[in-house]
Amino acid sequence: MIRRLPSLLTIALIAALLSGPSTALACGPFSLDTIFVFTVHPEYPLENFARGDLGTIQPSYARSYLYVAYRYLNGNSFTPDEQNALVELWRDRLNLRWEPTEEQSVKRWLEARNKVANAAAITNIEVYRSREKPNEYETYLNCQKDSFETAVATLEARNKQWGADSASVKTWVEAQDQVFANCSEGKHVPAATDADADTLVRADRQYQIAAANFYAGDFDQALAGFQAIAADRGSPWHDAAPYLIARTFLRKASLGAEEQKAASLTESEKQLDKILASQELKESHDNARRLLSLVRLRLHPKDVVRELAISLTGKKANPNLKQELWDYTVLLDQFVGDEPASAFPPKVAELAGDDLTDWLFTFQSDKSEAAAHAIERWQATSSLPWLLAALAKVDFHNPSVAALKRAGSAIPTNSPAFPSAVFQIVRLNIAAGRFSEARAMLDELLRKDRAHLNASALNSLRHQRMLVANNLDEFLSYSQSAPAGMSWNDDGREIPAEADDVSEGLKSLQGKPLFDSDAAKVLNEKIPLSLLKQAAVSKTLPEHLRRDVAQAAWVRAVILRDETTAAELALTLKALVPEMASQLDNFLAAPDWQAKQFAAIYAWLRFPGLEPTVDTGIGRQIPLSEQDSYRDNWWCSAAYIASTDNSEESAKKRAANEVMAPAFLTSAQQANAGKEYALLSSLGAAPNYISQQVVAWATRNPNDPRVPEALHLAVNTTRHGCTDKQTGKWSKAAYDFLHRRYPNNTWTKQTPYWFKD
Amino acid sequence: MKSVPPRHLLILLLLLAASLSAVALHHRANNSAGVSKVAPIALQPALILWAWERPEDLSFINPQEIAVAYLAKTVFLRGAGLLSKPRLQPLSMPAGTTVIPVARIEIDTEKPPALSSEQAEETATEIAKLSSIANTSMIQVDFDATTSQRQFYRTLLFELRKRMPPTTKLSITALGSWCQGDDWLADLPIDEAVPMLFRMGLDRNAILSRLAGDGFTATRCDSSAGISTDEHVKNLPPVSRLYVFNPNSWNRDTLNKVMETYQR
Repeated sequence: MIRRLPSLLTIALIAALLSGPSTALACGPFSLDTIFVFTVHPEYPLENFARGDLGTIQPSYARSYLYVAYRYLNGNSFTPDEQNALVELWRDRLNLRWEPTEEQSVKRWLEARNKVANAAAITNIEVYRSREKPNEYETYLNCQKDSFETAVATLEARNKQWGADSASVKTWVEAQDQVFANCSEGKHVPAATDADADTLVRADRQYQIAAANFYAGDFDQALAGFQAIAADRGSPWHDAAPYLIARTFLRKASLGAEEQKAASLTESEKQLDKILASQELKESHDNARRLLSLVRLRLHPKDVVRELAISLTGKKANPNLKQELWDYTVLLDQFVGDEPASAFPPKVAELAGDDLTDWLFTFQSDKSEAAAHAIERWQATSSLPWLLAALAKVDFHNPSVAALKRAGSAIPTNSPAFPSAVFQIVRLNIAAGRFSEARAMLDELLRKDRAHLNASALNSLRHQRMLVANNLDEFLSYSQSAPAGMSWNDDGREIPAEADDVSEGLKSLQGKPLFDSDAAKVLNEKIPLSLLKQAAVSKTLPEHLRRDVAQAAWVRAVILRDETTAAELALTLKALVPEMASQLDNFLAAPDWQAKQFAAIYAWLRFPGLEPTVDTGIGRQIPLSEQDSYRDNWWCSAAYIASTDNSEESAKKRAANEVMAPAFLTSAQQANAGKEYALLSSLGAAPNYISQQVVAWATRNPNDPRVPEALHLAVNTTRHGCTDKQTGKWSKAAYDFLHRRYPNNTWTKQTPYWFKD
Repeated sequence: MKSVPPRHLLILLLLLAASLSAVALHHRANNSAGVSKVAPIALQPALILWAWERPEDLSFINPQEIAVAYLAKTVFLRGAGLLSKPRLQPLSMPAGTTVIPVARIEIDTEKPPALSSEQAEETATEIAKLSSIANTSMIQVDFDATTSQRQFYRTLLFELRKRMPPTTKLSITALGSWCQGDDWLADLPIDEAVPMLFRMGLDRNAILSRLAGDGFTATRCDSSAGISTDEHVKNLPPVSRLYVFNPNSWNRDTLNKVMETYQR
């Protein structure tokens, strides 16, 4: 029975919920790791953002967050109720957990219906129905919860009127079962009553027939039925019928032939306008208004976008904020598809009849026209949102940069725009080589206003400060950051992990400074060994980071054949990794470089966690001496990791991820770092290098008692480390040498195979 | 013909045995999985687009060249039972397109599932309903089962196989890690495993480096592969069937780029 208005906006809600980006192809395995700057959405708790703590606003945020930023930047705010509505919207969108909305209503109907005497019990009603060809692969929610709630209410009323055991109630239930049989398939229409049947019985049956046709997808029959009821003032369904006519037209538009969609939507709109103009039908007004919003959303999307944008930026409190923002952002998604940055222009130009929509797309765009447009809008309006957009889009060559920077610098520190403005001005200064200005601005902010910055904002700004450091120590000071959150992030949604998901070991890292990906990249690619050596002993780094730097620098020094540096670092590493003491002593005591090199490699074989690079974030989570089951052992070919894809898109991504060498480095230091990194990248996967060196040593020193074990462990690296096309060759070389030279050795017996891949 | 003295015969037999052992040893050394390979599945078309949970208009595809594996339902395992959410997004394709309905299995983290055999049977019954969809000769199951969930998944697949028509094939997506040195797929009642070479998380480098070598050696992983339009795989093995995921809606340009890149 269709009596009370189901929230057909629920359809929009559900459709919108389900039209979000797919998150269901997370493959993995994944580990818990750190997020230093949230980019998909603001950092948690989202209540802070709803309250106006905007941090450094990212163009990559979803539009529902940027809308909030726009409002605050314009000097408006949200009431506590509105803030709650915002957070509810975000939670609904970020939470993939599905809750079917009809379950309880269906259950209540079945309980009521199963009490009817002699009615065969029904245990389940499938509420989804597949569409007809050629759309047979689509399913839709056919029978919504209000249908069942209306049926329950009607049955209760008829029980009181006719008696729960009456034949009339039983007949009514049988007919209603037929109505709901259409929810999932087929066409099951109750027969009309006899002409001399009781008036109420007849009226109920007419209604059930119309409803059955509705659910069966015979919309023309359903319309005829509801229209007849609307014309019958004696029917108890008379007042509901006009609304149901509108609803039938809408359903026809949704599911019927393409060529009639616009006409059906127009009829639905006309019908709803009539209802809203009639005082007689005022009980249907709320439902009609909601349905009309849905109809207009589809019939006049551009108008609705504009209307919603105006409503969303109004000064009065908005009790419908959640629904309106939901509808608004869904409409925008539909217009521009999945890639907001490419939407501007020209597709969106026609939409941008209001400032909010215009600003959103401009702020998100990565097109060159966005900068010019943002400047033009700022010059026309002098508004803060457009100032921030212009600052975010321009490059340092733009003739308007000076004016923009002046305006940005005048933003007061308590403005929600302040952190973003500083970030963008510093970005421009760094790009222009104006490092001292960048430093001064950041130092002042970090000294005076740090308390106002959330973790993501702080990390963004510290990252900038790292790049303009005056010297190594300053660099090291800003290279370490406390993560803004921890997440599995297996689907890219950056959802912070629940406390229960975080192991005790990882909990101990919370709040501890770590290297983010840019800091690690700089240390690994841009800092020469001569400075890494200093970093390894710098008390500016906490012990856990110093340890990582020291092991990376020592491995690097051995590979680069820098004997003096390797010896110094061995002493440093001994203090930081005491379990390596005996291996490092052997290294230090070795009589010549070749012997030292072998001693080092022998140590690497026993400590698979060693590698010539520092880790990002949490990094390797097991001791250096243990082998990782996900092959995070030794190193992979740096060249391999860097260049798996030569496509233009990948080249763009790589360019975007490039990080500049810190300002304090001399040209000579940068050149040395480049040469060192190039040499490391040319080595190939660690097992190749290690096995090759072990075989070379074994050839020259076959009587070294360490050799059989070393050969066994070398073969092991080819099984548990990264591999490439050359690995099999070296695996076999080590294997053959071991078996040929030491056939009866216990290590040989433990090495039955070599590994081709 | 002169007979071979018994002593010589014995030596010959020993030599033969030694040769066979050497071959086996070399084979084991070369193939650490040590399991014979299954003939690749030969369904056409060989290029399959994944149509996931978003509106998709694939009316531009040539159904002779392209098949569509579409997310038909998501099964949420919750407590002792399950919730089944059908596809609610538009999907249009030319008439006659070969379709592969996909059932995605999700674990409810708020009410963790029992993973009992009863639950496996119920899930199998739910997924088996996809067999009746028109133009379908294969069902695919997408479940990123953890190690502790594998027994449940195994039970589910065996139960599902029982409930499917014998002529309908059963495909599963596979984590890349399942295809290297981890041969738990070997005796499953499946016709195809599709290693997903994207969003690989921790294993990414190891898996890609293996592909740069000689590809996967685990059973069932050598006939098909899954890639994504936004993660180029440089050393894709020459698989007979290629599945492609698109994090955005499909269009003709993206499809053409895929076909050009992977020479399909």
